[in-house]
Amino acid sequence: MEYLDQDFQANTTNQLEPTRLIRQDWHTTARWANFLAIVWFIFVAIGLLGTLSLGTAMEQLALLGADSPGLELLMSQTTALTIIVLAILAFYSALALFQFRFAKNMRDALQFTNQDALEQSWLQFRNLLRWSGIFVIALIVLYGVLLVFVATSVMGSRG
Amino acid sequence: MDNQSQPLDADLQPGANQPHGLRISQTIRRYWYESSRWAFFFAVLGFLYLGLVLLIFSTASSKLGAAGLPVVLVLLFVGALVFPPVWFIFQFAQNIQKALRHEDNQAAAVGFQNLRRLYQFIGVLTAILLGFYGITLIFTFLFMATAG
Repeated sequence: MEYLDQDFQANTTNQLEPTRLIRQDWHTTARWANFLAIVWFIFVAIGLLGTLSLGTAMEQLALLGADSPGLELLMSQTTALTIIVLAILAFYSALALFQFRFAKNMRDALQFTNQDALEQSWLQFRNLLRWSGIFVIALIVLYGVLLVFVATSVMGSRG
Repeated sequence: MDNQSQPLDADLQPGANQPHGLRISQTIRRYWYESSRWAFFFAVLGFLYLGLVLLIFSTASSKLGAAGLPVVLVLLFVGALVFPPVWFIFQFAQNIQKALRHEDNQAAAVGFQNLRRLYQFIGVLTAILLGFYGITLIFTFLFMATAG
């Protein structure tokens, strides 16, 4: 699979240096990235709890006598809906993990002057952007397919 | 546990500019380049989104007149929230690519400054949203306690 980032040419002259100003920016970035990763993990956990209790909630609604065609349709699709939401949550947790590893490795690199951790940190950052990008592209394609599907249905019902 | 009253970067050693043990290896350069390409993609998407918001804004304000004021205000608010992160990620992408192309350390510094601003902006926004959720929860519980 080709990515946006395949045509990089390695530069032989190396004049880029992590100055104190740059290291300070990396450090602050890592602190915020750590905070955001923790918030993402918490939201994924809440989402997981909500998704796993979806079936029970539907049953309770049905027991309460809330009969409606919409609810029946939703109940018949509960398993499919749960699988889709779980897949999205798994993807979000992977993104949160990339974010967390980026932050952790960056802090290790700066604190212990660890070159390997620095390289790992930027690898995780690249992975975060790459997989977020792939997710966004998939969403755009999905919207496009849905639009075409809706437009075709509307035209079919008219003609 | 960290001292929460300190600035985020308080425990960073205030060492001299150079020499420092860390170096920008070819591997890191490749990761920066790839990251900057993806960042540019996100920036383009963000600008397209802002363009769309602007289009709806101008259409709504011209067609609805005074009645469309709430719509216009919401769109302005959304635009004001979305523009800074899009601009920061665009600046990050542009400056990192410039730094790698021309061996420009100043551009790299500007690029990482914008990355830091992006994270700060999203972080502060997230903190505000969490605070808002917290307040809403407290008021909901208080309302339920007084009503029940």
